[in-house]
Amino acid sequence: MSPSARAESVAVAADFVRHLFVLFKAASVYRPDNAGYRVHATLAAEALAHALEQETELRLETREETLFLNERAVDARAGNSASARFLSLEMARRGVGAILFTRAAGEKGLDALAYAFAGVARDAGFEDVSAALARTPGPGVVLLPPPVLETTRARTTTTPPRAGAEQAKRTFFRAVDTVERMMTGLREHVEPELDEAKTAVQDLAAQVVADEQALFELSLLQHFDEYTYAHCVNVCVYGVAIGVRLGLEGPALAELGFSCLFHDAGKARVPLALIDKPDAFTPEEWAEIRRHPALGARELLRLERPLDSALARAAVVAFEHHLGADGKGYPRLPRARRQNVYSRICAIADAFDALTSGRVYAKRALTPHEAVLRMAQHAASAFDLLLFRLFIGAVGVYPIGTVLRLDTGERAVVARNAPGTLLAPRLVLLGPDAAPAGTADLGELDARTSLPLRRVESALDARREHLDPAALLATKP
Amino acid sequence: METNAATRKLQAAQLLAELADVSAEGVRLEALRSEAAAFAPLEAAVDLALDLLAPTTDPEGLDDSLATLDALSRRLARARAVEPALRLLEGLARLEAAENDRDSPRALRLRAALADACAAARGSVS
Repeated sequence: MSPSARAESVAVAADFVRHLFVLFKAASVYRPDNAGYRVHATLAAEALAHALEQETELRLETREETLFLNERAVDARAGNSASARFLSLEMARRGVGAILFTRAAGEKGLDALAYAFAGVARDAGFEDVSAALARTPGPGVVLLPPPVLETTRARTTTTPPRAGAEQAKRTFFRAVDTVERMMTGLREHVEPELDEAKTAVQDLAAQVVADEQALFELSLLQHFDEYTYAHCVNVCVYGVAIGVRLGLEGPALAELGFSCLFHDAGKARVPLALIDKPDAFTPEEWAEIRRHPALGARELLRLERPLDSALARAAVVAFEHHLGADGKGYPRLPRARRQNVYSRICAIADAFDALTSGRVYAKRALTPHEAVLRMAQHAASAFDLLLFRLFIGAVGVYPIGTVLRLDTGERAVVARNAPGTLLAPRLVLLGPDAAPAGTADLGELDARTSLPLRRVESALDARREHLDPAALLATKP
Repeated sequence: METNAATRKLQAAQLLAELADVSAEGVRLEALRSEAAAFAPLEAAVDLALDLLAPTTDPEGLDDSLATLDALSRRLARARAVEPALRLLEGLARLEAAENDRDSPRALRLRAALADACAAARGSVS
């Protein structure tokens, strides 16, 4: 196959995957006879027919974390990361090894597939989805379980630390998907399934308690096309980490996580083009953006479900998270209103993620260490100082992914912080070729002199050093 | 110059590490936990609704805030939540009274909202 034919073939596959992704999303919100849904079903069926022109059948499956349609990788290289990731995760979550599409598959088959995934319970597995697919006659689409060999291999090669990281990854991405569904629902005036969000928060909270550093690594170092959704999850992760240090547990911790997850609910009412605008906002646009706390509070208060503690707290946090500890933020209120403790926690988490992502409130993304220093400068007026101190205890002085210059001349990436040893994180040392060359604890002492083997000389900007901390930590020795 | 800046940053890092030690803050942490536990959903929702209706909060969203208030009034009535309903009425009366121009569309709408909330509250009080 010529390079141009190959590129065309990948583009056709990517097009089908994108339409399938949209169809799955639409099926989670609309009924099959909805006009909007039908448009997507037609487009997906056309894309499938196009992809099947050169093949007798198509097999959609994930291999080595990449989604393939037959032999065509349909991942970030095809500009399809969000769609591919979603479908990969949905299949993995349901224990589906592959989806087989034959030439008999059309709109009916795709309908049956989309609603089989969307209609089952959150924890439903392969058997349930297959049964749902079989209930609706959908010719031409078959679900296959994961190959036994691959399952065995995955089981034998997974070491405990990576298993923890993988679990964190699954929990994190699932939460991002949940937020996306919720926000899309709010945007389209569909009452969101808040129980799904509560489950996602419980999973995140359990993960923070088990291994918060694995989640911080994802929050700080993963880059998403759809930042708004990942931002909500990041704020939830940092907020829950503060809550754990405060001593919150059970429903109180879950409500904190839920409030943080929905702190930006009002952005579902702000035009997407404005939220995603890459340039600086005009004063009028800023005025529109600054409405989101009031918009979010109203949106949550008006949901047609019991106004329980979680929902009321979420509405309060959505309203107050930009108010500032001194009340001088926004919205502007004619009477004094003290931020609720959950809002004060959310404000810290929100500021840190905004600063490190370089969105909206900062011209460029600060390094995690710079962000902590910047926040410390304004902590007395902008934040609750005691809560900010708990936050430092969680993310560290040199948060995960920070690049350091050491007094030995070496460069290193912070891989892990441990409570009580914030100035002595675990490091991945870099060799002269900037590749990982070993690991060390910064607090390690020389056996003869009892002096530290390495000291921090300065924190560096990873971009200026042309380093990718996420990649370096993923390939650490 | 650069060395000075680097030294200052290292000192700041040291200071932050010391700040992160909250072992002597047991009383203040307990106060924060108590504050978190003292949350009353309906009272909080009432305060929120009143602040949403304040003239500077979101002037463009007055209609939506009134709709939210309406939904909240009915919710309080259904829950027979007397105290929050009274609090809402008092707050609304204050807001309405604070309007400078008593015949402005905003004042008229607030007055109508107050009447509606009173009607809904009767269900919770009776």
